[in-house]
Amino acid sequence: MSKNDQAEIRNEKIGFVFQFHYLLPEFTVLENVSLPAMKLGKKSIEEIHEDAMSRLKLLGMEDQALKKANKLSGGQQQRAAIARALINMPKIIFGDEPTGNLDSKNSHNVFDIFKDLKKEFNQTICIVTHDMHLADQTDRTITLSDGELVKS
Amino acid sequence: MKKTQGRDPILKIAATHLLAKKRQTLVATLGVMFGIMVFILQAGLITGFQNVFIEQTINTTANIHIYNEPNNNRPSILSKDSVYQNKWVVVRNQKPKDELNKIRNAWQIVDLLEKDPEVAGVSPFLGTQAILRAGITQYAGRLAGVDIEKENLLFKVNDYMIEGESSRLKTINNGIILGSGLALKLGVKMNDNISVITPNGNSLEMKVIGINKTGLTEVDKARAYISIRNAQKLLGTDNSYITDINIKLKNIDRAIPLAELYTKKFGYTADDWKKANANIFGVFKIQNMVTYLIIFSILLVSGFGIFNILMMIIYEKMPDIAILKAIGYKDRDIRKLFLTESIVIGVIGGISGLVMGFLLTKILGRIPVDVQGFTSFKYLPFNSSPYFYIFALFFALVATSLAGYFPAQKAAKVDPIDIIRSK
Repeated sequence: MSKNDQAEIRNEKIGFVFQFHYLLPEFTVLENVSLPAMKLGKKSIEEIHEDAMSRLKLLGMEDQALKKANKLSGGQQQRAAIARALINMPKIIFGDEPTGNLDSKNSHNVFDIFKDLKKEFNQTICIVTHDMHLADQTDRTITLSDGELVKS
Repeated sequence: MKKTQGRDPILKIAATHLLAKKRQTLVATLGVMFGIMVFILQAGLITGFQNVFIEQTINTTANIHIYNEPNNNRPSILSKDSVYQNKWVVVRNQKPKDELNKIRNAWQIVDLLEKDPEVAGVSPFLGTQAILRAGITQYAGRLAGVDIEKENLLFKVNDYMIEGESSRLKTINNGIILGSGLALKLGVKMNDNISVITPNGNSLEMKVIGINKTGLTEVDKARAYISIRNAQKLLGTDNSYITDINIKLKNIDRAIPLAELYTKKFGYTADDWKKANANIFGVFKIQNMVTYLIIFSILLVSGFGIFNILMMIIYEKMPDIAILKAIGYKDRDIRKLFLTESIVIGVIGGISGLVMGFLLTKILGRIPVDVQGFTSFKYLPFNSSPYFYIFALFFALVATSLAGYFPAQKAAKVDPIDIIRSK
């Protein structure tokens, strides 16, 4: 599979949420969330912005949409990053310590969002985490230790 | 498939990057601007100067010049004798054959040339060195014995008169038209009398009936027009004696082939104007090379500037590059992003350089200067040929794209996993 094909799959089928939000700091939240859809290029810019707004609403972020990404708090940034991962209706969301940089209140918040996504949209979510408390709340937990499968 | 209307996010990201580094972007843009501006000025001035010079040269030298070149490499007559075949013959102190360097049947050649449909004008010419003397001041000059009506057809002598009428050369007996520099050195004015002495000792009192200024300093310092008849009288020759024939063509580009044709036809050397001024065109070639070298080196420096700022942006914006790739942007999108940034610098810098260069040539072209050198002019003669503007913009774009290509390539090769893992 060529690098371009891989990029297309990441764009259309996978949403990523990292420990760090990786929002473009000079862009508004709305623009950040719209970026993957603009790359996909299947909708007009108005439709994309509508989609982005609906994702932000889902995460309770609609009133932050026109703020610059670097003006948000850590929890809000992470929620914006989740909205960005959702914009193209991906088949799966990969989370790499998505709550790792957040305080416990915000990490609960983010985790609740993941659970809602699963319940309401049947969204498949795959999360890597050190937080056993979070891990216990998932449908299935696979425990790895130093790269070895311990329990599945 | 619907198109994403309007703004390509890549363009917006490029703009944000450049605006985030305002000062460096400004410096890089100014670098390109300065390079282009200097090129427009330099190329405009050099070629403008060359055009003035060529124009003056065309107006003062013939398109084709026919003359009798003295053959100084005459083989010794002894070597032709069969007795000395295959033997060394040494003849010391051999002198050129004593023959007049006149053109035989000159008037018939003039008549023939005047009937040639490609010829616009023919002027017979009798030249000699002479001493011009006014009281105790004396200077060497070059006398040009001409038929002033015919000479006017070729060189517009009358247009360059600063005093007097050139046609009076025909009506006034023993009239002389001096070059402006020569008149100044001799300290004579209109209607003054001067003595003209030729190398063979003849002398003639002549009256200054005009002063002439071509703008070519060397010419104005030495040349004096007299009538052919007076020139023949001074040289003590008959009225068929002509040393040169100058020809003006209807189409100057035909000078080279026609010069060859006339050389064969009349048996005398015929030089075209380019050959007669070959040394000057050589200098022009080097001047042009220097101009292109200068723009090349300035753009090289601004190219490094662009390279630098892009590398800085790339290191600073590594997380942006990584996430763009993670959410599906391809290598070529990232390459396009940074190439766009350098080309934006190139286009803005290039166009502002063209505008600045254009304005400066207009401003500098209005400042009066009084240059008296190789050639003289009152204002700097800028050449605003659109060719330079197109070339300069093209060069700016090539240089900035090249400077942007390598950083862009580096950014495109970034592996997002490396960046995201390290954060």
